[in-house]
Amino acid sequence: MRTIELGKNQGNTGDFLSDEELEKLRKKARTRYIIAVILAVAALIGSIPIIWSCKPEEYGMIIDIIITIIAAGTIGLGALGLFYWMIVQRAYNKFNQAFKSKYVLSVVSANPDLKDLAYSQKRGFTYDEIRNAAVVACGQQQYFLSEDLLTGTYKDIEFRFSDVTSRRMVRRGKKNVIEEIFEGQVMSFSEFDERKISDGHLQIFQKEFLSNIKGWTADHKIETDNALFNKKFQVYAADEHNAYYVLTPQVIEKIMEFSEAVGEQIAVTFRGKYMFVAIARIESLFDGKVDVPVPEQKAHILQDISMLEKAGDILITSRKRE
Amino acid sequence: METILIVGGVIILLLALYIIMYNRLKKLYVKVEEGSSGIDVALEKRYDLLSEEIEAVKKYLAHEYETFVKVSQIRSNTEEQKRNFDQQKELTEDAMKSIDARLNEQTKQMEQIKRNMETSRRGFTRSSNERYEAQQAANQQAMEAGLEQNEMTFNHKLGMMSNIHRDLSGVGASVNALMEQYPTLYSWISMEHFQKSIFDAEEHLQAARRLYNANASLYNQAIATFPQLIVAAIHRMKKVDFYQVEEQKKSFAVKFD
Repeated sequence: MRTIELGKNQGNTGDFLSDEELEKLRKKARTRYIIAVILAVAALIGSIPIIWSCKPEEYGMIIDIIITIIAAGTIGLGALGLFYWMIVQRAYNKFNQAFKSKYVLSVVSANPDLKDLAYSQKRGFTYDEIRNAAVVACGQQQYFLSEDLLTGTYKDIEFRFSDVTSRRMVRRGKKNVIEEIFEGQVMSFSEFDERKISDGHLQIFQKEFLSNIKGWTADHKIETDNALFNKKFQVYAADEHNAYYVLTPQVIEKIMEFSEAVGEQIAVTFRGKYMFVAIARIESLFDGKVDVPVPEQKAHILQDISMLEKAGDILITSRKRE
Repeated sequence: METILIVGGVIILLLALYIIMYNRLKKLYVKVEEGSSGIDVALEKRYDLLSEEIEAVKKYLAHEYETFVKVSQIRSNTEEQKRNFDQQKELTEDAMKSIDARLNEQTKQMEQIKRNMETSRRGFTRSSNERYEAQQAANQQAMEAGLEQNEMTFNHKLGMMSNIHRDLSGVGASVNALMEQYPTLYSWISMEHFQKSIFDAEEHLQAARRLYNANASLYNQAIATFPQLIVAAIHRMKKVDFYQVEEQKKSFAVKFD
């Protein structure tokens, strides 16, 4: 187990905080969050008469009510965001960093299959790594973010596991808006099958309504011999023969099994000996929660790790691990 | 005029559609041919790879067999020599013990003789001198006889020890020769590589077959569905066969004879 790397501006390390001190930080963050919510609700309620008095005369009652509700709701949400940034964020970040520093490695390393573990809150995959992997769209580099990097070996296979958020600037009407392309976790394994190497990229993207996480795709769109798989996934490959070489019927079944097990939109890429797996999730890795007592939050860390274990157990076929 | 333009437009549109469909069917057919060629490539690769590997592995196994036989022969000779050495070692130890006992005995006798000589010198007469000289002569003879006997035993034992030393040197030389001559037998690595090559070739062949069947399926679907079946019928395009399993492989009986 290596030394935990901490953020630059962190005052105290979680290692030196007791459970009671950590619990105090959590309660402080929770209290501030409640205050921010109360203030936001107050702003919402307070804005209703103002909006009502300023409404245009030409619309009917129902439309006026709808406009008022929408406007008040927008103001309330905006106020919540503002108060969160002003009041809650700093306290929450302090608690969150301390929580991760204290618990992540200690909880994860209890799993005997996970070895040589190292954890860094501030580091993650680089933009080039995600771009070269082509497992998800990498967006624009200045808006790319990756953190909470966990590295080690799972059943003797090296892995890297991290949060990844990719965004890009798009033009919407007259405004430039930062659009989020992918938010979730990406993991890489140093081996998916000790007997095989993928010759070029082989990409598998799960289809999801109104969600397009794929960026660059390989030249050939592949239709496999599994109709159900074709219905659920899109496959792109640099070489068609290589696609069928890697995507045997057993591997196709395993990808579908993994997708069912995770319950989220996934993408899998094979390149050389490496396998990259992306899972689209809003929740960040190992984040602490202000509304749950600290000792009970270890289970959430294990839930995050269970995705890595599922990917390793289901997707990797390696004889030395049998 | 308008009618002519409309009819002309429709004809051009139909013609364009016809060309598009024809091109698509042709592309699909080329993909089928490509898939078929892929199977040939995979089969050829398997044949070339395995035939070369089989020859190499055969030669290596033959070499290993010969080497193993030679090494076994040397090993068996060395074991016989080892047994001889152990026996001779036991004899040597017994011999050394007896030599030590004899030497101790001789030392005691020599000391006794010296004491006697000292005692005799103190109360010495001419007759005593004569008797002493006679006794001394007898002692000398006995000592010389004893020494001779010891010398004979010792020579015998030395001879044994020389033989042992020579034999040990021979055993050591044999062992050194074995270490220099003992080959590193890596045939298990070549066998494992051979198995991996078989697996890889079979996987590529399977991939080629599945790719061919996938392309054949797309082509057959295209020529069987409307409106492309019209174009296919005009150009007499026919279904292609899927890759069939060999009859002998459909029912495989496991035999461990």
